[in-house]
Amino acid sequence: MAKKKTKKEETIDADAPVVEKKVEKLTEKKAEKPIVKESKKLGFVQIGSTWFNFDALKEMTEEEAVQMHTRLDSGRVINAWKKANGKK
Amino acid sequence: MGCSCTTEYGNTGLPIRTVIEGVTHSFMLMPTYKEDGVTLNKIDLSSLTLGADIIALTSASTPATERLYPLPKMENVTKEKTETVFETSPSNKKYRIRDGVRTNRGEFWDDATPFQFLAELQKFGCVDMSYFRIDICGNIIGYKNDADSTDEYPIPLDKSSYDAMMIFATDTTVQKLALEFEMEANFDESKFWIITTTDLGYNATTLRGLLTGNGSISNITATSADLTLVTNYGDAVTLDKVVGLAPTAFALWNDFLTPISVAIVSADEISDGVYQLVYVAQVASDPMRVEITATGFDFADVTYLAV
Repeated sequence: MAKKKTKKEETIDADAPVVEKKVEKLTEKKAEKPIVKESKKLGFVQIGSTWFNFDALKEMTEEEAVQMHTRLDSGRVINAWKKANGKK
Repeated sequence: MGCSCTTEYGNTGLPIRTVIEGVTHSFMLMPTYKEDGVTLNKIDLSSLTLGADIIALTSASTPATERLYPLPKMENVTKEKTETVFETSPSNKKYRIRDGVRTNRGEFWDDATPFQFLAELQKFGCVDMSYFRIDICGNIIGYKNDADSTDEYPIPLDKSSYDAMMIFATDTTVQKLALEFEMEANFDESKFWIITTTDLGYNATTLRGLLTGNGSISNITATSADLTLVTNYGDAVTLDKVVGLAPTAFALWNDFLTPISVAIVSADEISDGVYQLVYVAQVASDPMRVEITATGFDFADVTYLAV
């Protein structure tokens, strides 16, 4: 009657092939992993005396940006909005 | 000397290198208890970032009940102790009754004596406070319960003895502000332990207390509000402005039901200490709150209603 293998013996028997398989799998995973570019946080950028939150400006239209800055020169706001949104 | 007489003999050798305290530079106050009123405040000596931990304990991000309050440089610091009390028997034998009481006293001179600083110092007389000594070498002195303990506690002071008072200038002397308090009676002075500048990684005389900041809101529109920041120093007419803060010093919240962060779209210091904050329009009458975080300042949140 064959002696039942202990867990330790099973691991030793299977050592070589398991290692090879693991290496293959890791290589596959690395290749499969999609390259995701994280959106860069811009934060606050100072234009003149005003600090503009470029991340917030990216979330709104040029008109919205101008409308909310009722006490600021619209030219400066448009300039900031364009810079935040990468427009010339 | 402690009250216990269980220890039989002390060993009288001295190490080659001894760590001793220098002349007192100032005191660093700390509430005796945390917010719960039971747990003692302490410094964790086992921390790998001990120096940084102590700096963090001086900052506004630490709750007021757990904060360290370093005082400016003091002059004429004395720590006199009254005589030990004995009773002498008819046969002329002395019986020791109790230790004397140690009184800490020091003075702030000239530009460290504004009346508003006196007001800040007086506040500590209303709560259970303890203190660390800082010597001129930059070491911090508190106490440990045992030699192998990793907790350094501030030394308890007797609240009822705490006093801060003005000493006005004369023809030959500058204005002074005196601070005086007694160490808790019967405190065992052999428990003092020194946190050295080597342990800290810096000189503790460089630690600074916070300035109280106050904010107020004006010119509220649908998408903006002007935040004016001042300290509680200055003259009777004009308080000192808090100038030059970066926009990251401000966090805006809409506190209707649950607090929701509101992005500040722009911030502009339109005049000294007046910051115009612009944000997306909020529902009228929603409770708004500005959190202000600036190094060296302790600001209370400023609230207003959106329009």
